[in-house]
Amino acid sequence: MDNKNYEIRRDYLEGEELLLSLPDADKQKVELAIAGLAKEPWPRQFSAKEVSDGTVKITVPVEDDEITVLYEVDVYESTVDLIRIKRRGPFKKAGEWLAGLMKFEPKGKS
Amino acid sequence: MKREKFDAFVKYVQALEEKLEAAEDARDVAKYRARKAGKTADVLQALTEDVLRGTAAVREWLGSPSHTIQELSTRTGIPYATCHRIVNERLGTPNVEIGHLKKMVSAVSRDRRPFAPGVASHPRYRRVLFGLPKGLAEEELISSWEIKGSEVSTVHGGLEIAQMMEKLQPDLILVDVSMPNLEKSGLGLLKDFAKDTKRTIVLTGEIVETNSALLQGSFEKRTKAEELASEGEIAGG
Repeated sequence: MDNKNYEIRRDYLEGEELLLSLPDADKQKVELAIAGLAKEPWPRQFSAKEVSDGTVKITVPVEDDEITVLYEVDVYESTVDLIRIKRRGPFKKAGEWLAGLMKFEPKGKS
Repeated sequence: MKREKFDAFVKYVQALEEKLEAAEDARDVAKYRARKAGKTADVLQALTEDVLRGTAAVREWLGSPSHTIQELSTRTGIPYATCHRIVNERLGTPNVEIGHLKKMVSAVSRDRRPFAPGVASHPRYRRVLFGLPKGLAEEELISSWEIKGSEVSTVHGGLEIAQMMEKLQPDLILVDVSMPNLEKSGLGLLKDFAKDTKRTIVLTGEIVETNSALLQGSFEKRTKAEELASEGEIAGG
């Protein structure tokens, strides 16, 4: 981790309305995670994952769901451009469904 | 059902789920880059290529959705219809993702055109309607006209021509006489067109029909090749 401060920019951010619609506690969690990118643009505690060249995604756990934040890091300009905030709900549900399937013991001929 | 087949099914769906999530991310990144780039010809050209690459990547990941589901069915022994229902219900339709990217490509291409060098701002024919049987190399034809600045629409059936005539009021119609599903004869339809447009051009290789058109007195005799070459409207003839 370097010591510089990254500028967090929201000029092209999509999904801000989702952030505003979250309960206060969840909103605060996500805002804190975003603010933390200024110091550490690849935070391990939010499972930072490189999506493509220069773009990163973090997953912030909230009540009954997960919120993903997609952003682009420019190390030369020291900027973090937020791209998209969205619920991971559908994928999370699919994951839970799959976990349920794994526990299920199919009947019938084997 | 055997346990291992069931597990294979779960694993396969899980992989599909990850691919879909990755496809959504790729789409979001492409959209962001489009907005950030602004609308200069060079940047949009690069962006179009980016999005096209994205589409190719999604295709590579997902393959043909029906093929993927068929493969899933074959691997697991679960009936195709069941696999189809489960995958669609749980994960959405992969086609939707590809559709999104396709729309983006066409939106970006559309935005790019006015900035591209050589596009006529005052085309000779503003609205052009193509009536062509499926299978002709229509993309090439259409882009040749679009680069001249015309708005081009295409129909593949005779029944659609009349509807589009009403809707678009085209300045020029290029129609193949031997188009399928012409309600009345192609020539009769062309006679109607002549009333409403500056010009009608018959695209046909059928000598008998072309001569019949000549006898009606309203049309010039031109083969497709002659038309394309002599008008100079279509690059390369």
